[in-house]
Amino acid sequence: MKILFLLLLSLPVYSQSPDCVDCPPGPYTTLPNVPLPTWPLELIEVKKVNLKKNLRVEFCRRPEEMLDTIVLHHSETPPNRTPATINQFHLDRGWYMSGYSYMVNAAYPGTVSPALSVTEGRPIDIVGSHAGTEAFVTMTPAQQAIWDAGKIVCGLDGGEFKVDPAQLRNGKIKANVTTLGVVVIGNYVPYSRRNPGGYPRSKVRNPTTQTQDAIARLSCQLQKKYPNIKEIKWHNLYNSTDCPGTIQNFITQIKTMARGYGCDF
Amino acid sequence: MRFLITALLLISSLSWASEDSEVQDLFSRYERVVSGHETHLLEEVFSKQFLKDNGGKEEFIEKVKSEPKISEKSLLIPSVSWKKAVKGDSIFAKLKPRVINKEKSKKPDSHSEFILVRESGKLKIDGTISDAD
Repeated sequence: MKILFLLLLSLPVYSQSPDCVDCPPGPYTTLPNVPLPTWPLELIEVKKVNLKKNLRVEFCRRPEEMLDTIVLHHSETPPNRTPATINQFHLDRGWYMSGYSYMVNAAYPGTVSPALSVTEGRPIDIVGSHAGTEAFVTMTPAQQAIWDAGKIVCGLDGGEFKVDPAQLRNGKIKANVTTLGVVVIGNYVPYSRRNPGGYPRSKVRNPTTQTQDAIARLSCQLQKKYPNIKEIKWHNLYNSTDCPGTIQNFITQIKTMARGYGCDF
Repeated sequence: MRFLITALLLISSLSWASEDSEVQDLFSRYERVVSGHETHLLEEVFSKQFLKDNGGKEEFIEKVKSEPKISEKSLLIPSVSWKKAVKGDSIFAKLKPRVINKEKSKKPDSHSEFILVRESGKLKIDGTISDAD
C-alpha cells in the first residue's frame, strides 16, 4: 500500500499546461492535447476560392519582402458581387486574374447583406493590377537590392520568367510591385454622370464600423505575416480617380483599430 | 482564298461598325437620361439588374433628378471608347469627361468603366467597375 501511494505521488500533476490557451481547468496527469496558438494570429478568416486565371496572359512575380503598402479600393459595383464575379470582370479586361490580393464583401450601413467576408484574390507573390500601370514609386535600398538581384520577373504560367525593364522608369518601380490591393466590394462614391450606381448625395454612404474593423484586422494580420508592410494608403494617391470614395475618410480610424490589434501603421 | 479572307474582313468590319453604332446610340440615350432627365428612357438604357441593385426605378429617378438638368440644346454627344470582353458578350465602355479640365493632374488619369450587357438582344448599361489597373 505504501509503495502504491509513493508511486502515485511520483506521477506528474498539472494544474494548467503552460502552453495551453483554452484548456479545461486541472489538475490532470498528462498534458491535454490541444493545439497551440499559431503566430501570426488569425484576426480575421480569409477564404480561399478557386479563381479562374487566364494562362495566356503574362504576369510578374515578386518576393514578399518587396511589399510595403496596402492600397485600399472600392469596386464601384453593388456590394453583393462575389469575388468570382470581380475576378471575371478583370479576366474580361484581359488580365491574368483579379488585380486585387484581397476582396472584402461588406454590407452598407443600415443593411445586413452581404455578410462580412474576406476572400483571397491574386496570390501575394504575384504583382497585382490595382494601383495603375503609370504609377511609379521610389524604392527603399532593400527593395532596390531585390530589383538589382533580378528577383522581379515576368512571364507566362509554366514558361520562362525574365526581368522586365518596363517595371522600372527613371529609377522608380511600378507601384503595383511594392503594394497589394484590398478592395471593398461596393460603391462608395456619390451618384454622377460617370457613376450612375453611386449613392444619392443626400445619403452619404460611409463604410460601417464593421467594415473598417475588417480592414484593420486584415491589415494587421498581413503586417504580422509580411513585416515590411508599414503603410495603408488608398487608390487615388496613385491615380487620378475617386476610388475608394468615402472609405479614404476613415483611414485614420482603420489605422487606430489596427494599432489596437498590436500593429504599427 | 483571297476572296474568303477579304469577305471575312469585310464582315468583321461591318459587325464592329454595327456594334459601335449601338454603343454610341446607347450612350446618347444615356446622356438624355442622366443629363436631360428624360427618365422615360430609363428601361431602354439600364438593365433590370442595375435598376434592382439601385433601389428600383423610382429611387433611381430621384437620384437622376437630384443633379442639375441640362437642356436638350446643350446636351453634348458623349465621347465613348469601348472594347469587348475577352470572353462572353459583355462590353466595357469608357465615358470621357464632358468638360475638359485644362489643369492637368500630376497623377495619371484614370476612368472607371461601364459594363454593357445584352438584354433581350438590346445593349444596356449593367453598372460600372472601378478603374484598377
